[in-house]
Amino acid sequence: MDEKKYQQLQQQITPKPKYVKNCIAAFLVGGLICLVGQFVALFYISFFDFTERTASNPTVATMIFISMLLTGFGYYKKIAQVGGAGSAVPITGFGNAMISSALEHKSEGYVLGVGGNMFKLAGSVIIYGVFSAFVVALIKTILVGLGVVSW
Amino acid sequence: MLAGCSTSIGFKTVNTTDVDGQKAEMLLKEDHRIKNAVVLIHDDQLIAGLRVNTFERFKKRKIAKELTKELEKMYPEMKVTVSADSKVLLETNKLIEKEDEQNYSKKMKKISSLVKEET
Repeated sequence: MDEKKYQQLQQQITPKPKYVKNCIAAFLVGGLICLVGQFVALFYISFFDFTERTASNPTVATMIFISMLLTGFGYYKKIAQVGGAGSAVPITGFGNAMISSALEHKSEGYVLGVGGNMFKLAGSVIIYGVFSAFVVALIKTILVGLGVVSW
Repeated sequence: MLAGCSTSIGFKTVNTTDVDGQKAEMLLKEDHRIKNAVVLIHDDQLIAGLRVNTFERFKKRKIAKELTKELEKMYPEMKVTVSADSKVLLETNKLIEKEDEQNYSKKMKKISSLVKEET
């Protein structure tokens, strides 16, 4: 069997990914997560002193907390199995990435295992966010200092 | 909790002063971008909570800014707060339904400070 034949055979046997079905599932699951988030935001608006604009911060924190709990109890992987990217792209995927790697490396000890690996994936997200916020703030500060724009 | 989502509020104006509150309501009613509006005029403060049509939401801060300017022109001696944030509509409506006039100034100050908050 030469290389070409093998590749042909391999392509025949590999199951085709169901792109359309996966997209629809991701859309629905992601939308459901966002619906829950919308209700959490509405809760903060109605019962606390948050406006639509300021309610986003506690809402994000709550959603991450919920997904961390779900990951710990083992329910989030079931959601991810159905939803795929729909469960990874919203902010809940961030909590999942942190807790699942913490669980995975628990056997290596608390400091080098949990502590060292918890931020392996999520850490880059945090660093990227903080650093880009710093750069944007720096640019704005300079522009305000030069008198081009106002705060 | 779901009362904040209902569209049954319509246009409402409560005026405890002797300035003409009808003018403000007419201005908001004639604006076809606005679905619901609650206006409360008390002492030297005017608060207008708006709900804009679904796809105008993208421009809601601009709409609020425009209307603030127009209302300030109409009532130059008043502190005008206009916001398309649902919190303002919700709280102002709650305030009106309680009909507790002693608390108006205090609560209105709180609402307008919420609008200004950034974080």
